[in-house]
Amino acid sequence: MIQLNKITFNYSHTEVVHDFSLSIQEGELLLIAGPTGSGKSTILNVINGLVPEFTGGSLSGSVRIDGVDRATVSASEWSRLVATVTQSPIDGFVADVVEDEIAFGMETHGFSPDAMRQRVEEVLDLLGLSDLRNRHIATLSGGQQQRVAIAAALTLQPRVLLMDEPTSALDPTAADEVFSTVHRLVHDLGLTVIVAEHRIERIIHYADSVLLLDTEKAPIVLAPEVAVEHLPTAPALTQLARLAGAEKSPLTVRDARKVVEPLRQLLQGQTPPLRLISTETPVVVEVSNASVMRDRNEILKSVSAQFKRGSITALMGRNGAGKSTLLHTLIGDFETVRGSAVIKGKVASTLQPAELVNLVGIVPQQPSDLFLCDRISDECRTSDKLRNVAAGTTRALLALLSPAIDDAQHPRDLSEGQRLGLALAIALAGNPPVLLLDEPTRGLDSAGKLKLIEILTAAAADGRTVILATHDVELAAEIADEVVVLSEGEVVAAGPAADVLTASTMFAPITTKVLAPLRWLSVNDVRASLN
Amino acid sequence: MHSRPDSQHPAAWWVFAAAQAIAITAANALGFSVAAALCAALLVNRFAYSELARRNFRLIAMATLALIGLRVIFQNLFGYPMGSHVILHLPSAQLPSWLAGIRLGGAITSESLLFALNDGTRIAAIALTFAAIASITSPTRVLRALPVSLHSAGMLLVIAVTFLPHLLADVSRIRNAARWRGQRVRGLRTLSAQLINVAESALDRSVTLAAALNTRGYIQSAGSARLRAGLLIGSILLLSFTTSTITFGISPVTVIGSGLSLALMWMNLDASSREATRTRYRPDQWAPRDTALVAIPVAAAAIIAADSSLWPAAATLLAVALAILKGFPTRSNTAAVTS
Repeated sequence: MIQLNKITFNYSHTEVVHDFSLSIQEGELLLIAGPTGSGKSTILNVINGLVPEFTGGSLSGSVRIDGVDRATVSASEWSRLVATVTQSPIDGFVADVVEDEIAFGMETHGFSPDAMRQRVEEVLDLLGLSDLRNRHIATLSGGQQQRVAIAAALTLQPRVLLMDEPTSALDPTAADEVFSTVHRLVHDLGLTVIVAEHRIERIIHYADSVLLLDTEKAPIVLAPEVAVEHLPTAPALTQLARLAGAEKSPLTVRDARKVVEPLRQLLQGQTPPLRLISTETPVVVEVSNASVMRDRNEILKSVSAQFKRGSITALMGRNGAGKSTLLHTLIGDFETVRGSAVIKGKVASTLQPAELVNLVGIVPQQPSDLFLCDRISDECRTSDKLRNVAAGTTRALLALLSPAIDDAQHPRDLSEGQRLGLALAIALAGNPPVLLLDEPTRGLDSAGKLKLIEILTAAAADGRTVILATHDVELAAEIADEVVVLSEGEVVAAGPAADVLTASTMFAPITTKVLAPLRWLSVNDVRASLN
Repeated sequence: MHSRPDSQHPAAWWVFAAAQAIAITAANALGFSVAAALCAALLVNRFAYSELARRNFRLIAMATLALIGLRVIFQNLFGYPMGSHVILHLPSAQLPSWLAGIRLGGAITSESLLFALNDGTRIAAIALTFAAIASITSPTRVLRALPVSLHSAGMLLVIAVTFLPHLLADVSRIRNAARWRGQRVRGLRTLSAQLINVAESALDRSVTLAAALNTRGYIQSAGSARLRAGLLIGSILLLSFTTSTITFGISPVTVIGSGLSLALMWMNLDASSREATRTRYRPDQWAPRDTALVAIPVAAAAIIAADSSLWPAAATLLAVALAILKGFPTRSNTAAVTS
């Protein structure tokens, strides 16, 4: 169905893709895995034609879909063969109502009104969107928006669907909603699908094959069972199977449960490490009965929570449950209509910027929002000045968090992981007692995530209070001491991570699912107790 | 064919607003203006297509109140008083002779006060009526009602309109980020760094949108798009210039200018229709209830123009109010119910 032949792509004197060939059968689901910068998106964009027409650069080699060569047809015709779904579909939507958005592509291609009507109805049913057809897109959840994007892509009946990190902004349930839909489309329509994804555990069990990309090694296509053995960081299921002495890597929780029986016996009688925070530990940040209004809606309803010294707390919940709102309330960006948010005895909304910065280090969802200068060295100097610390403090921290960054570089030219590193260095420079992070693992590859885990654990060990809003269950299971689960602006569960996460179906990490009824949170905990 | 049965045609709302504006101007009565402004507020309260649109209307309402206040202050502090019923004597300043026609302070009469109040309220009511319609008809629905040949120009406008709320969100996010770094929110250097950050995220967003449009087949040749944009902007500029000259009476400039701008618009339509292969999904269609909506203010305007009697006009406005309370079904309405 798809044939890439000897693709080489140069962009401003750097070779991004070198002599790359790939052939994919009809009705296949291919997963592309690899670290940031390994060229996942570039390959997708070569297939959908954005490279080189939209991005610039020079491309050689040929792309064929269903026997049609890209070079022989117009961009408009090509867009009927290949459809693309991206990370944040909301940025690419043009209509405000679901039904109109789905019809947009057909309108552009001049379909007759009868044909459009019929196809929109079909697609609405296919993706289970008929109840939502009149809804405003902005009011939908992230998973629903992603389904609308897929529906809009399918109306032109493409032969190929490309997905670029489609679930990186979604919680586990919404991600599963998206991928199980895609899986069904592959089976029912014979659609050929290529997905680039960092969190491969979400999709690998649906994949027929995996393309492994690496900045150093040549790209290689492997069967999923084999591919998991070759990943730089093995998925949790593979690690558990290895610990259980199994020969083959399971791809689903169900299969894993069958092979981990020896491991379960080894763990029988052992207690999982309880990361309990003593009740005597001083409370550093506290919200009590806080309510926040926006646009006449109460988006936080009488929320109370305590954050103790040296603890890591994960704020979890669906997209739009109020995680970010709570973070903003903690630092006084939003004023409470009732109740209060207090940091170290001071009311958050009354803090001056200079005071705030000495109390709290903040890493926003888009780390680049923090950057003010054109060069890394200036950025670090500004940071030292704003925090009244010795010159060079921020630079030294950056060297520790993210080595091998050039001083003369522009902060915006950094990779996702390096940006996070710089934001963390800025946040930690004043040695603040509180560290706040908003979705820090979004778009981060597995190596970057490991580094982040290391940094946050060290920060908590230093006595800092770490609070992070995240829907990354595995991250929470790995490092959180406490978990607060929000739903529609209310706290629905709060307590030690071991209690909250293992009791939840939505937020149970993979290790818990595999080893249930034993209550283990992460592979590292299991490994530590086996040694 | 395939029209949506449950929606009011956007054009009906705009004709409604235009007729209402004519009625307000013709009536020139304080009570009628106030009633029309209230009617606009009621409409928004019931039919606004989003919370943001509602908020925009509230902002405009506040601005119009300020406008009335300014009108009253200017009339009574700087203009010569009308009538003879003096309410208050302010100390007045002697101005040089070359400033004849302007005074400062002096007597304030009830006639002057009422005149300014009436005048300000009339302008405010017209502004509010149009603001209300802008909050009711979402730009994407207006776009759907435009002729296909105007589509690409309309699309630009819609993207610009939907861009604004994103931009505002970016600004507040980035201002917060500056506070988190310990910066004072004011100051020139901070401002420039913030502007760069806002521009960067706006640019990112537009590149994402452009890429999405590209992969969905919305591809046009840049040359013809530029030509059409130029023609459109030229014709609009010319038309607004010529219409403004009408205030000095109809002159050859007005006639030639309007003719030229209409010719430019025709060229634009022609250039577009040669390329347009678009079709439209479930277009809004003019229904009897749209005629009813338009008929009410048109009738009111006609009655006032005929014998300047306000009672029948007030009755028609009451009819609008009743219809609103009963509720025209609209799409945004049904969407709100299902959500």
